Amino acid sequence: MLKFFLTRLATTIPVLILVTFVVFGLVLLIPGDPAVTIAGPDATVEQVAAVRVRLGLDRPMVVQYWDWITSAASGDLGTSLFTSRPVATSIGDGLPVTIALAATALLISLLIAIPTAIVSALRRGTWLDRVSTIGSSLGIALPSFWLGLMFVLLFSLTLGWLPATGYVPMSRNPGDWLLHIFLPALTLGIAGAAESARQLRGSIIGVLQQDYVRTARAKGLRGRMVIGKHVMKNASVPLVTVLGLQITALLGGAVLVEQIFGVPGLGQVAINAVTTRDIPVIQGVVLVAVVVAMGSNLLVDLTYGYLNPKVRPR
Amino acid sequence: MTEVDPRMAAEKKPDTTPETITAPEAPAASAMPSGEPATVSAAALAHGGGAWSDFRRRVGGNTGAMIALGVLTFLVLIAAIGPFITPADPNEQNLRAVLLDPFSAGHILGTDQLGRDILSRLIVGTRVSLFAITLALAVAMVIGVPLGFVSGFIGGRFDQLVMRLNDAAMSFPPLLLAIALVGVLGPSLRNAMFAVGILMAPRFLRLVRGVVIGLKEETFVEASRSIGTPTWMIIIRHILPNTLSPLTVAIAVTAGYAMLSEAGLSFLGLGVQPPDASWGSMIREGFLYFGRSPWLGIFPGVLIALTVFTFVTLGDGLRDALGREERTES
Amino acid sequence: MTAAPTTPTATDTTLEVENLKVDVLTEKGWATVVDGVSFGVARGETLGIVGESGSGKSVTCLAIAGLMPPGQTRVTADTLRLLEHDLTALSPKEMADIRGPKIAMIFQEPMSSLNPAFTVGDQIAEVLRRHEGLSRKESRKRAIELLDRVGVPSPARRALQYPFEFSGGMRQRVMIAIALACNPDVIVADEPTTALDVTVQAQILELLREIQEEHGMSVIFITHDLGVVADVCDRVLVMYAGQIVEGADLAELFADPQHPYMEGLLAAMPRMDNPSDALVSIPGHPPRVGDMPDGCRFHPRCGYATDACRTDSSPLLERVAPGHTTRCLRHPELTLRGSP
Repeated sequence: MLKFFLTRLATTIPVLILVTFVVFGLVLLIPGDPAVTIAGPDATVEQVAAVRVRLGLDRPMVVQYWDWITSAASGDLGTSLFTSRPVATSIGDGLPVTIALAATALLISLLIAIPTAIVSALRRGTWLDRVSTIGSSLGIALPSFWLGLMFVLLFSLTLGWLPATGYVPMSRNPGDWLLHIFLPALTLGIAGAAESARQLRGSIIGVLQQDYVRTARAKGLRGRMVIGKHVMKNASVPLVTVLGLQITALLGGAVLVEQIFGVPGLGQVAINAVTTRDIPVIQGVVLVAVVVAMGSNLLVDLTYGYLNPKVRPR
Repeated sequence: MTEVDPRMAAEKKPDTTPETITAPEAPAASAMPSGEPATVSAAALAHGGGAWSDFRRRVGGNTGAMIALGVLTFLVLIAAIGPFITPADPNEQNLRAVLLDPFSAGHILGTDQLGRDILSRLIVGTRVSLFAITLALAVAMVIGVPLGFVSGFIGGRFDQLVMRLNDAAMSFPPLLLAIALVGVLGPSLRNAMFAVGILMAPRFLRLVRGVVIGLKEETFVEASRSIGTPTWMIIIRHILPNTLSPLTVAIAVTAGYAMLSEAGLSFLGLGVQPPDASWGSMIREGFLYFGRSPWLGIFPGVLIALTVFTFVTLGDGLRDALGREERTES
Repeated sequence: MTAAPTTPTATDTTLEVENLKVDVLTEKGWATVVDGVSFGVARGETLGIVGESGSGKSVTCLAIAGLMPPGQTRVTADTLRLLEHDLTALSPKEMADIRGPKIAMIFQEPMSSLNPAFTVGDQIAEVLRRHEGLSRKESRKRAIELLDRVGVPSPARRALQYPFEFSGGMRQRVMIAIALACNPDVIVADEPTTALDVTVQAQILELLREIQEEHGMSVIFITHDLGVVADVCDRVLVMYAGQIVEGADLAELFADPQHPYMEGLLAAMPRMDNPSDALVSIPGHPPRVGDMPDGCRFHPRCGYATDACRTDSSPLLERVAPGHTTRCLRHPELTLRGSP
């Protein structure tokens, strides 16, 4: 198991290095002279030169990359060009919020997807199946930010059940936290739920046709046991792959949802940075998000090893 | 598991399903084949010139796909003739009639914060939205298809390098990378869709590479090679036609994602810039007046959802009709 | 094997089936795949059911055990009795209580019939937990004993391994251990050796024989291999196109077949004593489900068929001798060749 994990880790490292190239390379995509762009349209020649030196843009690319990656590895992501705050501090404020949001969304999506998929697969071809199949296509099709607006309209403005915006950290008041995180997480989770439900329905239908399911029934196992144990463990294998992709997508989708609900997460940091072209912050946010995504994918792969004994070297 | 168990050694046998190999089950088997031999699955490999007519026949028989195609054709038509059929000038402001409710006189879907006719703006937005999808798909395919093709065909080191790059591209939270790219390049619809296209490219790359690698091993390709058919001929006659079906499915599915990404970026103000409007940017404007007239945001959202739903349905229908299971590509 | 009476009486019959009919839902609607099958199995008896794929032999047994998918199948019978239980009256839940302790199955495909995601020991132990209420620890211990009983070497270690770490023969031993776990009264073995090569096949058959002698259970042995039938069965039913076409004691069936289909099967059986003899085979294909010929279902392939065979309604299963039945219009006039 450990060996499996280490092998996975080893294949991740070259990808991670490539990823850092891409993040660093964002700076190269700035049209024209980055120093001029960053310094702003009204900057004097001296100011531009100062920016160039401050950002180290006058040194060779390789040196710049090396400086950036070594500082990043030690937790220093540079300072914001506009607020002069350390990038790591801004990210440190936003990241826990985004992770809490994404994790809750993932949980909600599974709570929706798993029962839907099971019912759909077991009642294949019935109206119930058709309704949930169309429902999951719709779930994919609804733009998350728009769905968020609809939820606000319904649950906050019309029914007044839940707050429309704002955020309370879990450490301060778990009840308030749940009230504030529920709508954003539901909004973010629905597309994922739809995707997972489609995937899981397909794999359950496939597993139900396997001989070992017949064996399980021939043993006299109860239906709950046959489905819950024998079918689900095997049907979850493809789902795990999808979950990995979904975690990555959730971190991106969180940007939109945070915007709607005024959740002070990584997405807010990113949007603020993008509107001001705050390159170090943009780079920092993308780097941290991709590392978090890759880390969670590694964790997901551990589950894969548990579900599929064949990949588990003993 | 290292020690050798004599009984196990004696029992070693290939892991095969007997029923498929020794098909006849009866003792009088030798001359009593039970039914036909296993035929190649319905997803049979299309061949040469037959590919296109085969494709049309299969898709034509799928109701879901045909309805979805109908809806898309209608949208394309609207996009093409949109400017000529709008009930009002989509950019004409009327500050005395702002935020009118739907079914107001002269404005069937109401007006926005500047008194512009919403229906007209939606009609004109169709063109922008569809153009955005097309641009993103084109970028994704121009990058993904040839790279995947060459990668799969050549294999070896090059393939490994391309696949690592592909893995790297897929590790980024897609929307966040798009936001960062637009942030650096500057907000505009073209930049936004360029970014989305880059993010979508790995789907096509992996798909085409998979198909090419699969086909290289197929008997008919081997056979063709063995009689000395030149490589370019094999590619044109055998490999290209067979990428058609899975690519079509992927285009339909990816188009849906592209539309959602465009809407998201435009909602953030990183896509279409005013006074132009796509459905996504109309939701953005609606967001600001949400408390007072929610209709502003609701209509474009419904249109986006319906269009993406159409693409998803088209993808499902095509997948069923063409028989290839590529769901893992999501 | 133990000498079993040829016609089981009600008292020692563990399983009794009368007029079993199974319909399945196909694209063209309902089609009958098992049509009026009746038989009984005595305690300690091994009953063979022989037929080609699609003859309905596996479906017969799956239907008895309540394992046909509901919704897509209809199972009806005048009598379906397992020991004291009337299976036609049981709910799916009650049926599940019986599967395991009263009737157990061994399937053809040991590769796919074991769940790849659980250890072999767990797959045996869960039957014991389900039906005998054993604790995790006790059931694990019993699972190891069972593995030992079915001849899996170093059972304690092997119990912790996964099916993919087992060879085909070893997997089939595991399947047998699962079937044996709750000491059932009837074991249905559906082609248990088809997927195995000849040496292993002999070992598995030997194991089944030993177990049956030990526990005295009834065994229904489904196979297409007349060699295996000759090896293990006391009595044999021959199925063709969803019907029983002949049934008799093993020796009598081989020596004196009363149905042309059985004669054909015997003629096609490769013989050790005369290898130079050219293989004879039955021409044509068995009919497809939902597309049964008029008259005798075998007539299109029968060398003895007359106009009556082609046009009359399907012949009835008639008794030709004590314990010997056949479904052939012409059986009184035909003298068929048996196996020497």
